[in-house]
Amino acid sequence: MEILENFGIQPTLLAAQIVNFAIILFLLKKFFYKPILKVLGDRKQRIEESLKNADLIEERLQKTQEQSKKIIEGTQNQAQVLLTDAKKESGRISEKAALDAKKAVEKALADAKDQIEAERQSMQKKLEKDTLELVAAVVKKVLDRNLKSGEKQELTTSAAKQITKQIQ
Amino acid sequence: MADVHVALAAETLFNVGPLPITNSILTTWIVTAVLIGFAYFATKKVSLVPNTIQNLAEIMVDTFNDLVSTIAGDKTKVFLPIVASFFFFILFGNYLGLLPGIGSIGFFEYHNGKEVFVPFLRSINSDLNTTVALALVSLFATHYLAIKYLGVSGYLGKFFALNPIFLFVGLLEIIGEATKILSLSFRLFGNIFAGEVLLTTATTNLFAYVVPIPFYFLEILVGFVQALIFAMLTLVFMVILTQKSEH
Repeated sequence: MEILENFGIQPTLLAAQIVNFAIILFLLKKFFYKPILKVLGDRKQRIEESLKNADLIEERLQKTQEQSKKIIEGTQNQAQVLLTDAKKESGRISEKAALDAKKAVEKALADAKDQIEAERQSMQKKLEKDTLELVAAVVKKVLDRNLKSGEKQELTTSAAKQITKQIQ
Repeated sequence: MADVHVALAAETLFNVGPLPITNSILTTWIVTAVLIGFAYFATKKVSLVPNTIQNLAEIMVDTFNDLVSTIAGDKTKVFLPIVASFFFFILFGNYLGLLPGIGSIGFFEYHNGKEVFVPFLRSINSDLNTTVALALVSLFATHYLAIKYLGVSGYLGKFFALNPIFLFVGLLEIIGEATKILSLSFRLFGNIFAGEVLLTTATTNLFAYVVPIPFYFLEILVGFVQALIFAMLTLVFMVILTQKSEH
C-alpha cells in the first residue's frame, strides 16, 4: 500500500471527490441538461410545425388563387350572359314600345275620326231640324195669308209627313 | 531558488476536522463553482430564442447529445447526463489547470528537512484521488444501470454461468471490471500530471518566454482529448454492460 501513499490516495479525499462529483452530476442533470434538452426539443417541434404550416399556407394560397381565378372567370361569363340578355330585353322593350305607340296613335286617330263623324252627324241632324223648322215657319207664314183653312191643313200634314220621312 | 517540481501527491494545505484540504480539492471546488455557475447562468432564463450563453450551452449539450445518441440509441436520455457531466467536469478542470497562477502561485515549506514548493491550487486531474473517484463513480454508475436495465439475474448472468468456459470468461470479465478503475484513473492522471510536469519544466528549467507556448497548445489538445476519452469509455462500458448477453 506504499504506492497508494506515494500517490497521495486517502479515503477521505476520495470520498470528498465522489460526493463532489455526485453533487455536480445531480445539479447538472436537473438544472442544465434537462432545460436545455427541453428547449432544444421544443424548438425542433416548433420548427417542424412552422414548416408544416408554411406548406399548408402555400397549398391554401394556391387553392385560393385557383378559386379566385375560377370565380373571376365565372363572373365574366355571367356578365357576358347578362349583357346579352339585357341587349335582347332592351331590343324587345323598344320594339314593344314602338308597337304600342303605333297602336295608341292609330287608336287615337280612329277615336278622333269617330268623334268627328259623330259630331258631324249631330251637326247635320241639328241643321236639318233647324232647316225644317225654318221651312215650316216660312210655309206657315205664307200659307196663313193665301190658303184656306182646309188646304192649309192638308198641305201642313203632307209637308209634315214628308219632313218626318226625310228626318227619319 | 529552490528546485520547483511537481509532487506526485497533492499537498495538504490545512485540515478541517478529519478532512485534509489539499490544493487539488480546493481547485475541485473552484471548478465545481465555475461549472455550476455556468449552468445556472445558461439556464436562468431559458427561451426559444436563445441568448449568447444559452446558445453556447445548447451547442455543448446538443453536440454531446448527438454523439451519445449515435452510440447509446434509445438509452441516450439516461446515459447523457452522466457521460456529459464527466466530460464537462474533466474538461473544465483540465483547462482551469492551464490558467496562469494555478500550480505556480504558492509557498515554500520545509518537509522532512527539505524546502519544497507548495502551490495553492493544483490541476484537479493531476491528483490521483480525483481520477480514482471519477473512475469509481463511472464504474458504479455503469453497474447500477446494468442492474436497472437487465435485472439482477440478467446482470449476474453476465459474470456467472454453469458452463465452465463461460464461467471462466465471467471470471475474466470481473477482473476486467476491476482493471477499468485502474485504466480510467491512471490514463487521465498520467496525461494531466505529465502535462503539468512538462509545463513546469518548460517554464522553470528551459526558458519562461515563448518556449512554453507550443506546450500549452499541446496541453489544450490533451485536456480536451482526455476528457473525451474518459466520457466515451464510460459511455461504451455502459452500452456494453447494459446489453443483454448473447449466451
